[in-house]
Amino acid sequence: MADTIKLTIDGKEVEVPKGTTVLQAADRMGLDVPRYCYHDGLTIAGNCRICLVDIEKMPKLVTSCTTQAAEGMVVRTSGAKVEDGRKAVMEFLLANHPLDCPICDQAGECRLQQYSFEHGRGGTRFAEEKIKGFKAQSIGPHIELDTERCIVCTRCVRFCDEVTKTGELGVFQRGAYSYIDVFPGTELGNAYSGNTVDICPVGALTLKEFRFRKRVWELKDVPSTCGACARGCNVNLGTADEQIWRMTPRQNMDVNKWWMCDEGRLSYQPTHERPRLREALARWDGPPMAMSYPKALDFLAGRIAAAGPGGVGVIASGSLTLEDFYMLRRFASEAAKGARVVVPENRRGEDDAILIRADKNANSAGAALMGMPVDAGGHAHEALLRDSVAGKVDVLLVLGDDLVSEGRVAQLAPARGRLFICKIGAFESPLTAAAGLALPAPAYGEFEGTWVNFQGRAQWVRRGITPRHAAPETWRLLAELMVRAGIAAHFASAAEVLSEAGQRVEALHGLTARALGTQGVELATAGAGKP
Amino acid sequence: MSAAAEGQAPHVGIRFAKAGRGLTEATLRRIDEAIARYPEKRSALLPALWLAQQEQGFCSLEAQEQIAEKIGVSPAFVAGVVSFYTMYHTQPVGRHVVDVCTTVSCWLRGSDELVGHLESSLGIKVGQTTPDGRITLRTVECLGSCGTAPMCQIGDDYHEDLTFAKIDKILDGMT
Amino acid sequence: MGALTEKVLLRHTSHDDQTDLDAALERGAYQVLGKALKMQPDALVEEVKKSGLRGRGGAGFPTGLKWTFMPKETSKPKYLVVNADESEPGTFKDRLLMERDPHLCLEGFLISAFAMKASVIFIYIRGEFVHPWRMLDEAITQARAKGYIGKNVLGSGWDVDVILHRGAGAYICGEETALMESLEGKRGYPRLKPPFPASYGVYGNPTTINNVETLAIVPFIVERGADWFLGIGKEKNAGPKLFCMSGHLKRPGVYEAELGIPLMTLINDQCGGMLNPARKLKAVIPGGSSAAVMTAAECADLPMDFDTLAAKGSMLGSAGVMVMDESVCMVRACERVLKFYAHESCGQCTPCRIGADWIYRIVSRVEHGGGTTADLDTLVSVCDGMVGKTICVFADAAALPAKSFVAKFRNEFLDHISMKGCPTKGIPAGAR
Repeated sequence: MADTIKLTIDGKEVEVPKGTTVLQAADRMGLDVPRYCYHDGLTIAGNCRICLVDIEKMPKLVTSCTTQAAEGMVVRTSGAKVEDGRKAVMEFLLANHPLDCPICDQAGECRLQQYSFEHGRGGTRFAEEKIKGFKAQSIGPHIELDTERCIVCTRCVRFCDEVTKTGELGVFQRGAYSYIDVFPGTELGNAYSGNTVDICPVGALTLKEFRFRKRVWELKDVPSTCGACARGCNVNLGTADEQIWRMTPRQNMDVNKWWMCDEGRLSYQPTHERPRLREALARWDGPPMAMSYPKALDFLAGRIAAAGPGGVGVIASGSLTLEDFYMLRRFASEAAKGARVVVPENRRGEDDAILIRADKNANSAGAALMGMPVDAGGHAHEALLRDSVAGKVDVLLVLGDDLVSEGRVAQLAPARGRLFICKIGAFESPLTAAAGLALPAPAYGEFEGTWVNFQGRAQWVRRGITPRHAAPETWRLLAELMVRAGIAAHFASAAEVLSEAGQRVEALHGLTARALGTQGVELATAGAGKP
Repeated sequence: MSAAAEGQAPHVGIRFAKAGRGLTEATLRRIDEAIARYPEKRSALLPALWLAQQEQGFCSLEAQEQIAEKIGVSPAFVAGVVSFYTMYHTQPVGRHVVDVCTTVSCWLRGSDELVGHLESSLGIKVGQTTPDGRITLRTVECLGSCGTAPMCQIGDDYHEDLTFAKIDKILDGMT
Repeated sequence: MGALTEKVLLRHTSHDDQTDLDAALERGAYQVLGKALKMQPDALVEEVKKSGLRGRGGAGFPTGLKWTFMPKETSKPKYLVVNADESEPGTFKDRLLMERDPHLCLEGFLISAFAMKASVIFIYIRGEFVHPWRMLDEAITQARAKGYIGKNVLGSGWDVDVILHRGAGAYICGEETALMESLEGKRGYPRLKPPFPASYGVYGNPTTINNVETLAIVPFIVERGADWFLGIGKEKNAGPKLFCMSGHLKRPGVYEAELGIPLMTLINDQCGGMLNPARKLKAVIPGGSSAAVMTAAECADLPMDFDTLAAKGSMLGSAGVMVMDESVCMVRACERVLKFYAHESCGQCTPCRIGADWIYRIVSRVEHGGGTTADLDTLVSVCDGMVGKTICVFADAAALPAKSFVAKFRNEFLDHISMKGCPTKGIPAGAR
């Protein structure tokens, strides 16, 4: 085959496509050649020099990230010659480096720590005065810069040049006095600035929202999916003490490559910072009364039964899971027959050329697959609200923390007393306060289920934390309502719901939670991508 | 390059400055002409910075932003270029910048003594400007005039085979 | 060995009418261009190859061979870049040529560009060389008016443009790939190789970079033939060479002689001997500061050519010969050399960014009395850590001279350490 080449690395033969570098070939083999400046998503810089390897017939060590693999090459990524080279580079890197580990966020995931432990001399002979830099400089809404820690690998500069094409960062001066900074009077303010913190191999760039909050070794990484827009970037939730402390992107070449946007990165914050609905609250006249779930559900089931055909309206957030939507579909056809379901449009801004989608629903495509496409233009939504006020709808279920509906509370005021509103959501809001019944739902990070992104890719959202209060999933509450309507609907987990949905909904092609894995599954669906 | 001053810890950091105004239309036109001379726009960056320095005496932040716009690069990119090359001033300098070469060949022929003489007769240290704004004194690396050492560059001109008397006379003639 | 018996490159540099094209024409300027344009470009390349001309910028790479690296078939424009960034300490020959015989330089550039079928000549001249820049600019304007530059040069069918470009103060821009980066309007960071300039050069187009002196000798090779060139100098080290003599000499300056001329001949004959006859020769840096230092004993019988100096662990480099007498403290000289590299490191890659500054600071500390013997071991080890691990050879240019000072003048370093300071009151001839 003319398109591949065979080479030997550390005694093992490997076959790689033409154009692969030695470093990339080593990566394929699972070897861990050290690297700072190399990143799969950025152009090759070849400036850190830590990835040196020994190639037969080449007199000097060469950087594996810049060397194309060639037929018959014999490469050694270990051994005395290579280790001497790495020791030298490590000593250089640490020469002026400040002893900040005790106060540096990067500790625990720092490549200087890791490689000096694995490849360093174990001490330094640098006896000069270290070159000082600027510490803790705010250079953007989310970014703090420490130039003393910087090793000028230029990953951050290349990211801003090549990925966001915004060029906020530059390397100034030269030689040992080189440092990275923004142009005076400007800031690192693009919508993806947080990625520079991920790719910075040391603690030179830190995220303000995470700075000094948690040591990384205390975090348990939970692989999940971001819900801030219809892209569904793959993420890791950094969890500890039943809290999410940060979100970082997880690589998925089909969805988000290596990146995520700042808004998504911080989308866990409401879970802990917005006032939460913590118990089922019923309200008629006067102050709300806490109620037990069984009682609240009995009451709601009664009102639904009393409403009669077509008397139930449902506004369902486009960020509900596939499992929620499946249960809603069954509910609307089996329990509350003729229920009108509207999934409001939730768009802001434009799709950008990188990751951000104007569609801020996490699951518009999933809703469409369940026969409940998003109400583009908002006409059905308008109609439902008008009919609710006019008395044509008796029970209005608002599922999910839909900001669009939150803004319509005033519009619903005339129907007070006549219209029964039940809000099922995670957060306190004007609507929660005006509703006849408010039931807590889990917030981001607290539920698991499936979202389908704008590409028609079904991805698993994993639960990472458990709230202290009871917050059953929306599908679970709907199932309970169905049971009270005499319909069998017993599911122990979201995975079970998905299994049934996978069997019963043709468009899901027998999908199961297991099949979703950590990278998701592309559903061959026409129309799945339309907002 | 911000090397350590006497007794001070070495520290990174270059200071940029504003001029208080942008470049004139005439300079901007000349920058356009420079851009037109090259097959690719960005090659005109160094010439553009020379033109800016010619007009304002240094490469101000305003000039850098204007040039960034014309060349089609970010201001941070321009600042990175400005601060890489020693001949671009990032702050206002004296009317005359005296660059004394102190590399090996000039050192062998007395450049350090020359610098000492200039420091005491001008009353300033290397890197500083006389209070009347007349002269900025700098030391630089090899200027390619080793056969006529010691020497210095002031503006466009090389002043070679210097003695204390000779440099005194040259500086006396500079207003 | 063939001695040089006439001025070649320097034959017209003593005239004072350099901006007068007519005077230059009368002296023969552009005659060889006319001859060359009637030849086949490949034949020109062959002649230069046959002559064995080696690059005069510092590396001594065979020029004709370098020209053959340009692709034969390509739709991309081909470029000749003239490296007029002369910044190697001790070197001042290109400045002389550009200032004192710009038309010769231009003629050499044009013939060479024609030989490699280049359509643009970029001249990258260091920013400090304002007068040479003006001389070249004027020469280019005159040449253009005469039809030597432009479309269909002298009816040959060849089109060529010349772009004169100023640097702004960075030694590293003399490194050919850093030069290209600077020419493209960026920081002067050397590029990763491969790809090499002949396949991916300025704007990604095939490019050859040559030194001014190298190109200036080409008209003579074309006019008089490769055999004439081979008759001067030695085997594999042929031709006339400009030697830049500086330091403790009676008559420092640029001297033209055959490659292989003994160093002491240059010092005693051409330069009139030591500046102060009472002070003996102590050391010489023979090829710009990137060359290893040679002791007086090593200089006693030292042919100045590429191969001899390389065999002796140094190099001819840019032929920047810096002569030091016994008043010089070699530790201080080493410090001064390393200060240059600390200032001029571009900072792109780790070993040089940190190492160039580090070795300067070690030697500085030894010079000022704060050194220990362990520091000497560290210095050598740090130098070894820099060599062969960087993107370009700047690190080698700093480290190998540093090692040579320590190896050959170790006693002076040890004296500084034991006496906690500089024992000599070393006084290079001061300015008065």
